[in-house]
Amino acid sequence: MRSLLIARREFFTAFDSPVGYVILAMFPAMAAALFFVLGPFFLQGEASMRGFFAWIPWLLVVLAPAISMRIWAEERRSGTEELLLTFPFQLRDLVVGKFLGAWAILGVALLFTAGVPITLECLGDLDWGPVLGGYVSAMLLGGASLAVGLFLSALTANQIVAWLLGVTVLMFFNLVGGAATASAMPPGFGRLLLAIDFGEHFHSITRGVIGLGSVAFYFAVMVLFLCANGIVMERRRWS
Amino acid sequence: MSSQMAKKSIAQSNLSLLLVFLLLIPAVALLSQLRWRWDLTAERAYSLSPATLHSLQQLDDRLQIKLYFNRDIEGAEALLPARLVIEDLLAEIERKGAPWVSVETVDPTTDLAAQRDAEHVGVEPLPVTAQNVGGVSVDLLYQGLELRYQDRSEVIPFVTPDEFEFAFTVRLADLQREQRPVIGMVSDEPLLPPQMPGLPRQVPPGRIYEQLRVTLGQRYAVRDIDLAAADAIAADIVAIIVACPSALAADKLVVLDRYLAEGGHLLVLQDGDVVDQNQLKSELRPTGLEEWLAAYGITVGSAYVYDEEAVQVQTSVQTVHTTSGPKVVPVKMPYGFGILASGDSLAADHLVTSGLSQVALFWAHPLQVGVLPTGLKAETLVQSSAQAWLLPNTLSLAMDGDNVRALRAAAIASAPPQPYTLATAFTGTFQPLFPHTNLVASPGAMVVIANSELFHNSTLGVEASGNSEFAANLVDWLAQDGALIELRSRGKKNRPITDFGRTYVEEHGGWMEGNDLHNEELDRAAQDDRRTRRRWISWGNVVIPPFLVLLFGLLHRTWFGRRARQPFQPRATS
Repeated sequence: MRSLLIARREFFTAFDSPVGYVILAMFPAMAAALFFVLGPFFLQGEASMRGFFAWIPWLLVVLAPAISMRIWAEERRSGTEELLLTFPFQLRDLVVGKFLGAWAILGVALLFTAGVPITLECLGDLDWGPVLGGYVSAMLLGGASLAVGLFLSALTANQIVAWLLGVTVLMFFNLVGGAATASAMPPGFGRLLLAIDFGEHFHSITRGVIGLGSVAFYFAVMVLFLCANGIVMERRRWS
Repeated sequence: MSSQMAKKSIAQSNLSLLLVFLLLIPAVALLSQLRWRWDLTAERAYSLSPATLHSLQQLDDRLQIKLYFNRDIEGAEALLPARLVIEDLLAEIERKGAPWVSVETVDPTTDLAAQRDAEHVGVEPLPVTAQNVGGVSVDLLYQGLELRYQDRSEVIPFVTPDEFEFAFTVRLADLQREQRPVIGMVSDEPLLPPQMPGLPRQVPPGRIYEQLRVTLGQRYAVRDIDLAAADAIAADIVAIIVACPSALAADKLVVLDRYLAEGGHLLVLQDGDVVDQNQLKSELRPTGLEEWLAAYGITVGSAYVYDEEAVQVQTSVQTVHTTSGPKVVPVKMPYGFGILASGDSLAADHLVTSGLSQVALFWAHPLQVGVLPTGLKAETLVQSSAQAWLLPNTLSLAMDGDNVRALRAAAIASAPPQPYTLATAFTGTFQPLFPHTNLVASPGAMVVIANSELFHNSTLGVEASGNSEFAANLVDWLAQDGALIELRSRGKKNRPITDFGRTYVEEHGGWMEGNDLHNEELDRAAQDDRRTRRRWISWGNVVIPPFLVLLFGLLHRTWFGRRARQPFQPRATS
């Protein structure tokens, strides 16, 4: 319950500055531009959103750290972090609350892309199953990316550094699967790399099949990085 | 004291992180192994169909599946996610078929023994060319399957993810039965010459349904039958195709009559004439079935159905002047005698037609169903669009522009348009029309199509026509293997978006034969219209969401700004 209170506060604080709006405006605009303007949607002529969701992992590489970069770094820079840590909240509530707030912002950003499936439905007979799968996987991937971003934000007081770190780490998690097919890679290790690749799990859901393994993977990443985030904050509380 | 507490707390946190990490890895691995999943696609394209599940439930011995598959293909990495669907479905097959099914995956590119096995059983790799720094390299893509059940085996040399389940289930069904079911074929085609060793068998030009035999041969043994022979209809025949024979004699009709009355399954291609497809001339040729069908209330008219929903045929060519010089392009026009049945023209609630996207019928006749004898039920499978007319079979069938226009004018002037039935399925007990001894009446099925050209070699050769799938569905339904019909059509549904250019041309009167200037202008206007509409859609989607966000932001700031300007008013206390 306390987590939800913190999440609410975090969500609304994001809209107190123009940065939140810019992020929220940029995401659907870039997604639509990549799909309709730069992508081969009209050449392919098929009412399918696979081309749209193919860009989502890369957009989240930029967007998720942009949402999460300020969450801890800003508290630390403005000196409110110490005050926050003295509040009668458990650290767990604080970390989960901030994460949920950031996740809700991402949800709103994704909501603003709803025009794309509506347009496709008007243009043809859209299969809504993969669309639903795509949005579910975007939320899960976004959640995992935010957890990573949140952890990195806790490591630094500088938002830009937090964003750059986030982009770098998420790039790694999105590209690591590509290395799995390299000829020099031992097969077992290649399979492990595929298993931790964010995009690999994402694409399996966007075709319209939600696998328990993929869902468990994203939640595991969230739990792991939120725990790591909690440890960083715990250390800071005692330092 | 405080320092000790801090150290203890941090140590506990580190330990808990380590524990979480160590617990999460096996948890995720375990949950992944369970392979529980929810298929959200409309056609359940990534789940096993009831037909496959049924076949798996019928297993009573070990089924060994060997998948020849290599993941690492230079230049075809992008195919990997789609290819993995095969592994995914096989895992589900193994789970649902437990304990009888075992799946082994081997990579012939790294395993010499597997490569030898692949060659031995007939698994064929697909060469993939990749351009890299060192030049061009060719890699082999293995995607084949070997199934072993009891003392039999079946091989799928190469399978695409889209066709995997159908190919697998058909092979599995073949493994589970001793012999392939037989489809009998009654026609006037010349017989195949005997097979000479080492030489390919020559197909006589008159074998106009040879492609149909090949299509059906994937699942059935197709046998030409002579109804005059004493044992014409053997017990292993599951359905008979009567493909527009010429003046079928009464003694042969008696055999068909008995077969149907005893619960047989017939597909009748009933045409009162034959069209020479080179000369485009029709010639009357009664099949001898007319009176027999009429006794069941079925009549095939002699006129041709002319439909506005028609196949586009090339009527001439025209020269278009483009920026890169003059270009000769074909002029196509809808040919009303080439009916393109799609959408509402195909029965949506019948197993045979519900999964089809279209069927093309050339020179089809109207099928009239009168009062049916008691116990029979009729279901329309294919009909023309509502914009259809009847034209006499004496008119020219030529596909030149003048004749196409003349036919359309004659059709429109003839009568008000209406839909015409082209194919109907009849089920129930067929009362025999000839006297038979020791007849045991049983429910059967008969499909009558008022067109014989739709399964000709030339029509079936065109993959996009949909006729090949229609033929296979019909025979599966008649052979009472309906579950496979659904499986065949899975994942093949096209979802095209509106073609603005085509819509524009149709809205502005269409192409005009011989009027190059009009066609050029129309083409240019259609291209402009298409570009404009696409631009509006694209930029609308790019601009509107940020605009809404900014509008929301403006309202939000205005609202909070107003609240912030209001003087503080403490709550009244009691």
